[in-house]
Amino acid sequence: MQNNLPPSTESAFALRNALKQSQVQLAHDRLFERLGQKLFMHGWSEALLQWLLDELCMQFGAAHGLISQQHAGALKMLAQRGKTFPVGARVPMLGALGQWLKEPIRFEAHTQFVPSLWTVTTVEQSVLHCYHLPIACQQRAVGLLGLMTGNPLSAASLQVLHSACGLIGFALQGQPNSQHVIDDSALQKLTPREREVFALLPSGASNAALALKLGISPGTVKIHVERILSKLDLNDRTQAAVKAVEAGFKSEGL
Amino acid sequence: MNIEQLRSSKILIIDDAEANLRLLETLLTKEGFEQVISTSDATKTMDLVNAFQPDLILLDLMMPVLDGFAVLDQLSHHVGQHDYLPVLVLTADATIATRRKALALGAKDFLTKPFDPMEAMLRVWILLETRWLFTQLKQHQPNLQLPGYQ
Repeated sequence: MQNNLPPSTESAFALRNALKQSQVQLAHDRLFERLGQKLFMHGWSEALLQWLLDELCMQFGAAHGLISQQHAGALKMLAQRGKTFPVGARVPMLGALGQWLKEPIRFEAHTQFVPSLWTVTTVEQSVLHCYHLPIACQQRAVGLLGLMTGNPLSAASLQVLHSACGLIGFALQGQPNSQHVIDDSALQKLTPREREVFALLPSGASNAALALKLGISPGTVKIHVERILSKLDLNDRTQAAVKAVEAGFKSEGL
Repeated sequence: MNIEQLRSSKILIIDDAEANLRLLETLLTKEGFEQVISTSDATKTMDLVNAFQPDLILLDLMMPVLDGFAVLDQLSHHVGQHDYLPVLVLTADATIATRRKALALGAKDFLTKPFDPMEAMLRVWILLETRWLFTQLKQHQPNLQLPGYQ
């Protein structure tokens, strides 16, 4: 298509394109407004993810769609529509999938058909357009969004999908899914009382404050902290506090 | 062209005013169309298009939640690039801007309310004939690339 089109007042062709473009923009704005409203009112949930996928499919004429999250070398289905695998199913990240989600993730859409993600027949596949967009946060792989549409997507539509992927990536990253990071066997070495102290470290409280909270002397707290540091092979209580946050203990005040 | 074949065409009406739906249903029934489905909720349009596979859509423009322009935009994504699903827009908004916008977004014809019932039905027949010719052409030349809806 030529870029040097005459002004819309002079050609019906240009007017049609301009009006179509603004209508597409309106539809995108409405989608994000409703997403914002839902997030504002109810926060993030699996139901919201399914809603978002349904809306994207509706918007872009996709009969088939999926949102998946990366977990231990596989993609786990979080939301699905049409001919793909049910929610909860895991697909190994081999071949193209592994390539697309190799860090650092690139901000682009992949159109190659991946048989392991979809259950469409080869006849259907030949008339459908595949789009796969990495879901990432800070270029780190979080998952994959996939759509199969009857019509090719415009650059503006792909922009919307990229934005959605960024939002999903950010939201999923915040989910308590990173607990596998902590070495559970190390935590097993702690006594129940030491674990109690460990759990309170993210609050940043002094030994005296911790002692008051636990009903023991500050000297005992100090001994517990030293034993925690030695058992978990850590240098100081800041490191221990970070480890405790990684293990899922929140930094609530005392 | 067989008139009975045309009469078996499937027509979908989308209008938030129940009175308009009833009027159009009555007019279409008098013409002999039996497969007519209508909805006052525009957000159901795509589900109905997928389930009912209409040959013609009669569309109101001013509707709450999702207006006719948004429906036209959604249809442009759902209807195949080389397919032909005519939309006849019926609206009380007679401004030039609205007429231009509806036609630009893919409406195949445009009528302003209050419309002449006879004229409206004549246009319905014309659009269905065009659709019929299109499907015939597709049957005989499946690989034919037409400018189509987009």
